[in-house]
Amino acid sequence: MMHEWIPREFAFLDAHVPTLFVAFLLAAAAIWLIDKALAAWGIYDLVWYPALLRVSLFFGLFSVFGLMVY
Amino acid sequence: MLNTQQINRGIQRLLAGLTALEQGVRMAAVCLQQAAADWYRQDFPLIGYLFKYLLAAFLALWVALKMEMDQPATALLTVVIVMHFRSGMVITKSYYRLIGTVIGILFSMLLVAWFAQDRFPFFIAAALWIGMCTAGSLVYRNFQSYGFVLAGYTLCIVGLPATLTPWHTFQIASTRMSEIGVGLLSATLVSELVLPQRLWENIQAVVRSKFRDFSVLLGTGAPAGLNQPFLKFMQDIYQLEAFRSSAQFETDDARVHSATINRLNVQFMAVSTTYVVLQRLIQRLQTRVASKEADALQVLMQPLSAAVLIDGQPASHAEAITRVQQAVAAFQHDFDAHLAVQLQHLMMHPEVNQLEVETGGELLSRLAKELTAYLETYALLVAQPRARKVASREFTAEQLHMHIDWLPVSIAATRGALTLLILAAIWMTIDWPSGILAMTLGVITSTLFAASPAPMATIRQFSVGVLLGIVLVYISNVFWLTAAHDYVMLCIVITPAVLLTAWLSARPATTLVGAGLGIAYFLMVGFNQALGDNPVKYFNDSIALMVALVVSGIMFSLTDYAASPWAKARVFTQLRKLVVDACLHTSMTAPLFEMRTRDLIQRSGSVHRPQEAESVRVVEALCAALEVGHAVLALRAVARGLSAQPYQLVQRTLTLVASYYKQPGLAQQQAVLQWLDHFLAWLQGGEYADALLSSQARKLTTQLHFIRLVIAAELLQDLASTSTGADT
Repeated sequence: MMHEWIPREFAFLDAHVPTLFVAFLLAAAAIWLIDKALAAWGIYDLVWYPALLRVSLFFGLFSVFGLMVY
Repeated sequence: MLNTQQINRGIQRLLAGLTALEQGVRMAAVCLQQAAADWYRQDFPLIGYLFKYLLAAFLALWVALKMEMDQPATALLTVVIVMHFRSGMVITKSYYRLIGTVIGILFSMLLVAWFAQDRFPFFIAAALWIGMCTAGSLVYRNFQSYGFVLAGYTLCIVGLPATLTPWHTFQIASTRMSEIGVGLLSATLVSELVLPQRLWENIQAVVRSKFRDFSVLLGTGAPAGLNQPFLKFMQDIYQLEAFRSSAQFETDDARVHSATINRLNVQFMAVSTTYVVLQRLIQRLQTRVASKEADALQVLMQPLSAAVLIDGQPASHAEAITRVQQAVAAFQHDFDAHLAVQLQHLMMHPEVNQLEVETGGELLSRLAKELTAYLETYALLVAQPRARKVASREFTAEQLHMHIDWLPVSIAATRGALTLLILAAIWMTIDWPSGILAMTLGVITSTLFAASPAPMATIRQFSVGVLLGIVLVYISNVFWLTAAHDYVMLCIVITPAVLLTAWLSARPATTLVGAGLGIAYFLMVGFNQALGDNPVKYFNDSIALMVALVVSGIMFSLTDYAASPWAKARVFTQLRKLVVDACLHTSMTAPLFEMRTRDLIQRSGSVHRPQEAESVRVVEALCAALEVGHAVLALRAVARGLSAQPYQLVQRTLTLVASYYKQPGLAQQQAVLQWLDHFLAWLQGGEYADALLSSQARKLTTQLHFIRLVIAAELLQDLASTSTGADT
């Protein structure tokens, strides 16, 4: 499994950075792209509560990335 | 004894009473329903906003406490800084706040790494940084400017505490960053998820009201003068741009239609300018004794005025807009015939100068053309329930170009840097424990209010808020915090301050009071390292805030650039400079000229005080500059297709006009006018036959004649403004 070879913490310029933080940044970047695409294709028009969808997508993605680490 | 008749009568009365009662209840219900609808529309958003504000603050506080952060108050302060009525704005603000914070933290760490051992180079470098941030906050618009404010502020909350314990710099930086992150996340989450307020409705409202105002103006003319409506339009244009630039992170249509909104804005600028230029031409012609020309132009204009209004009302729904579009198209179609008829008609009056009517006709057909384009975009945005967008390839969006004047920017930068240095000097000389707080607030005020059109009033309002905050901090630190033992009680303690901040900052008149209150309260509230009250620290901190306000107030009053008469004279000079650029530089295009001129005036702050006589003069000058600038650019457009000889003549004209605008004076004006007369006489004499086509000659003639009219009209105002304008 992935979490066996991804460390939970790594040293960045001698500072300990939790891998979860990187997962957060990755999820944020991914959501930014997905969000752009959703807005451009007009998906948000079909959704009852666009903000909720966006936030849940983010947390889903973040959890997926987080579970890869742990 | 009751007989049946009596009983019947009683029942009838009872029934009548019941019906009346039912009617009354129904009316009351309708009233209540209406009142509820009003309440829902007007007051409910505000109450919802207060609720959201509280929720975001509680969430931030909870997370910060749960994660055992050093200063939960920093997270709360972040919430206070980024909360905004509109959800999209919160995300945009947070985004720039994050960028500003990261950059500020990186710079703080660099600074501590370089100069931790010696305070003088440290403060010099810090002052330079603050100066740069102040300059940046003045140059950029909207929330981008905010990022700079925060880059400066972060230096104070990370870099300065780190100087005391340089070996903890990294730790301080990372905890501040996490606290700010917690604040940003709670603010964005809450404002996105709970009762979101969307920008799109605002944008549509502005677009509609702008259209309505302009239709009325076109339809009925401007009896009270053009300046007020023109200023109003300018404000609308920049407001729309502000909304548009914050729509980046919206989920709704605002983001999708960003390019369309931009195009609408640019087109509206063009059409409103042309209208103002035309009206000024007509007014100028009317001041003459015989105004046959003005009458003719008004007759020509009449069908267009009639076209934009339907039964005296501006078009509101899709069908009406289509009708207006058809009417304007019909006007354009018939215009040449109408013009010919009018000219024919004027033939009978030998004293009438036909050229002037032709010039006006040219403007009028341009107005109709621009109006058609504007209507088309407007219909795309507003007419259908689902707005359609412009393909981005079709309109490679031109940003609203900025006009940056480096003088006020450098003055503001110097002011920011000096404020920091003065406060640092006080801190160092008297060894004052709350010096860092003073510097923090000093930097916040000097960067945040750098772009304010009336900084003294701004500082005064902000100070009221800070004083309120100081009082509230005393109450909560001494009486309430000492009794608070858990999270819920802590929440209760901060609730009054949060609610008051939210309520004050939601009302446009007291926004700054709210900001001052929130910032002062959460800078000083006593649950950072140790819970509870510490009177010595409290008084030191309050004095620090006051000192910071006094110092930055003094600095603002000493360098209040926007209010000085010198700055106003400079605005006139710069307008002239732009006209000179329009004459001489090939890179200047009509939209660029338009945007830069307007941005110059917008930044000069006159737009915010439309009632003042000074502003009226500025707008007058703006209109004059737009008039002549567009005429010059149109002349250059005509000149592009000419052969060598007339091209050189046009070039000579441009040089002369430029030299007149560079150094306005009677001699230069006479020179330009004489040359224009000469040129026009040559064109009208018909000696150009081998060098020009007659259509080219006609276009040249109308443009030259228009430029001549504008410059000749400057005669009276000019001498007045030259006396103040020429010496700068």
